[in-house]
Amino acid sequence: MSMANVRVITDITAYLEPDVIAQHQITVLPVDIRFGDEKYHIGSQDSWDRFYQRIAKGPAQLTAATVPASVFQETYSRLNRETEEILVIPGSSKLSQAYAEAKIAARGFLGRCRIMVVDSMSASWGLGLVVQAAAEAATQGRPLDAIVRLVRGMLPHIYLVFFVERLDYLERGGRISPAQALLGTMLRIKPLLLVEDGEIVPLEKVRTRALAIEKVADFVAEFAAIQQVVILTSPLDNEINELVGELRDHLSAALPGLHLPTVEYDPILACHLGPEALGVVVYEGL
Amino acid sequence: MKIEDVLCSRQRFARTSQEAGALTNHQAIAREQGAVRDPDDPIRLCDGRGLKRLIKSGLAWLERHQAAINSLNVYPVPDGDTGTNMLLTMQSAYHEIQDSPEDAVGTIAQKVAHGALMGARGNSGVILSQIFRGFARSLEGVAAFNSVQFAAALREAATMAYKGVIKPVEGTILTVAREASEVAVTAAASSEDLVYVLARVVAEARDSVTRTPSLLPVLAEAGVVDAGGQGLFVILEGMLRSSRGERLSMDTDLTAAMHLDALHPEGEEGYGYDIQFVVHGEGLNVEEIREAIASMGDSALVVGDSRAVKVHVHSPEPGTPINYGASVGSLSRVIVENMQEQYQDFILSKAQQPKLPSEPLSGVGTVIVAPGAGLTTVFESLGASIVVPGGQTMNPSTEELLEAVESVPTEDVIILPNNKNIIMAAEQAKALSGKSVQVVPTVSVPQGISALLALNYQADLVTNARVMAEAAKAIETAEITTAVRSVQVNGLSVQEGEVIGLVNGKLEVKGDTPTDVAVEALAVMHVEDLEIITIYHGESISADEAQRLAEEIANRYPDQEVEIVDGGQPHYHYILSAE
Repeated sequence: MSMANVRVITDITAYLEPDVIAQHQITVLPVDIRFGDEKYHIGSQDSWDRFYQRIAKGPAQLTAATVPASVFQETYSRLNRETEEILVIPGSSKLSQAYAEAKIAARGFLGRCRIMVVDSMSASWGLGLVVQAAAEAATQGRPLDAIVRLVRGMLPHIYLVFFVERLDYLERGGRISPAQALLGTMLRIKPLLLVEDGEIVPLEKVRTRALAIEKVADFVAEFAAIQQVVILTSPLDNEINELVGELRDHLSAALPGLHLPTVEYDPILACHLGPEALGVVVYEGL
Repeated sequence: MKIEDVLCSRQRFARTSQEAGALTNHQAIAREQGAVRDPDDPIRLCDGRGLKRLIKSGLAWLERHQAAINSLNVYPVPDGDTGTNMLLTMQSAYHEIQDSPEDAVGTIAQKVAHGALMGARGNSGVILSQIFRGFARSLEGVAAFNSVQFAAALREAATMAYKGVIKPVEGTILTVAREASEVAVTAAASSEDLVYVLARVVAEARDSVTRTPSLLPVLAEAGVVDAGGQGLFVILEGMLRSSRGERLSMDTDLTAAMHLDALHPEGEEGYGYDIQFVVHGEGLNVEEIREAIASMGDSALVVGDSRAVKVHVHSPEPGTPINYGASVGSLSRVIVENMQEQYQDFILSKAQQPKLPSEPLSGVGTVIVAPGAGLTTVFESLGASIVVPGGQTMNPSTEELLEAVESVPTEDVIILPNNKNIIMAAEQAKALSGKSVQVVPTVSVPQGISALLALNYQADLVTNARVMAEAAKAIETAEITTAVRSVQVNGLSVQEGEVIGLVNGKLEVKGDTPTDVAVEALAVMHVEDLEIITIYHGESISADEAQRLAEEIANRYPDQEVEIVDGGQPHYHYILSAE
């Protein structure tokens, strides 16, 4: 029995090169984000820019990002014509509604198509990493269960750590109280944050940029083995981007010889971290 | 010996330890040695009741000299007062045995040690509690001690005191305890008379106190003797006086002796004592009693008839209504409650209310000592599990810190004392708690904030304690206050009332206004190389004034960020930090 390859679906927040998307037939769904009545349908570079200009203004009336179930349903139907096995890997369930919507949409396909929805518990370059690995395995014709095992095996080895300069987005997301945000802003506190089990959790707090950069570098330096480190910086043109060089110097000193690409973080992370965050994704390797 | 006896009897009434404060007076004081009592009637044994009397009289004498001991602070800052701290520690010790029917001296000593341990405030209080602990350990199982056992107990007391300090410094209470105990051993070898031994101990303690400035240069420069050593001498002297038959009455009722000025957080009037009692008598005038009681405090409630009147009043001075009550009739059901404690309990219970569900749940809790409402809010907002009110003039006791530690929901707890004089009590609380506790020895509020910020929610207790201590060290602190007396210290001649600036705990600058001194202190701190300057303004400084200082600093240091926080701390106009 010859079966079609597994098809992989993710959302626009996964960092993927265009040729990888094309080569492995990855379906990348746009993400909807709303600020009150303003809707941002983020699927092309043009809409990213417009969205980022809005992000710079502050988090008032920002609502959770999502990919509607209807969009997943349409996509499943379309792909179902070519395959009977679909793997959906959206951004972390703690950071957007896409995972929940993907699962709701999958219910109607019971018996017609095997749809597995995996919580990536990651974002941006980290999400792209697992999606690419899954898609490559699918192209090689590996079965769905094996690909899911591969993805789940990779997830615990991906770490995201950041510091943020603006606390209003953390407050909006309920991660710090209004009192903490007020005081923290007063004291210029820059929380160091870790994405753990898909959720953004505070690691510690520092007050100076110099120390924040040092802490991020220290975090990376503690790994026994590292396959890749990627610097995640703000997609906006701001002061944070001027610190990238300093962070790279620190990382290079700790990890000589390692290639250190810089990538702008995605719109969903921007909804949670705001426009002024700097950090890294670390992949330990398997 | 004979000559000294004569000297002793002639100068007996001139010897008051109040004079012992300044060095010059001290040197004029005659030696006291030998007993003036009938040597044919020596006291050979001291049982539990005897020790109780000694403790009570030591406490009474200490109370009388409290203010004089307080004035012996080296730095002219409104700091944790040694006299007050030792007194509160002694009160806690006596409270433990006050109603004890025990006869065995070993048991009474044990209770004294426990009371002192729990009530210990400030470093001097903690060392005093260690002295009692050693004393009690030596007397375990003893029904009544003789002179040799007494001397041995004093030796053990001194040894325990040294053990309780990580880096013992000579010229302090430790030296006084040790030298006095050495003389006790010699004296006990030649006499069975406890009063004689005690007299020798007291004489040596006095001499030892006099010598403290020669051992500790900072005392010599300030022209004072060591306050803790003086406190110990006064306690011993009180014991000696009572053992010679002198009556040492306490100025106030024991419960009243808790000095409110020391216990009150500044600016929080109204947390005095809640006093209740019933007066019984014949022909009591309820109206008259009501008027009298109402004049003594707030929330007065006086009800009853000519034979029994129930009184309920809030007063900062519980002795007054109780004494009055006793003057019009006989008292029963006397209840005195410290509302300050209740207030603190309230604060504690408030601190335990569940936080935001999104609050990160660290496995490591924090107990943080902070003065003033503003700083309490700062620490709470930064995630402190519990903030214990306290600081410069109000050192929390071991027991208060212990209770805070126990009430934190986590098994692992870090204490930030934020004051040099609270570190030892924090260490005691650590030793007493069944939990895993680490003390990060922060000596200022900015150090405490820096340490708390460094708390890593993912790391374990020991790692956190290490990282937090490093973070605390990385910060420069200046504290701006008003000199409470004139002094020559660290090469600076300071007049009472002048504004002074301590940089990293050291008196470095002085001037006329808080703003001038703050600016000068920053110059000492080399802030050019640092990134952020934070101004915590105290209750004496208005927001506008702090803003003006911030502008001045921003002009001088254009490359640094300047932030203002309303700390609301008492006594200190400004606390500045740079990092």
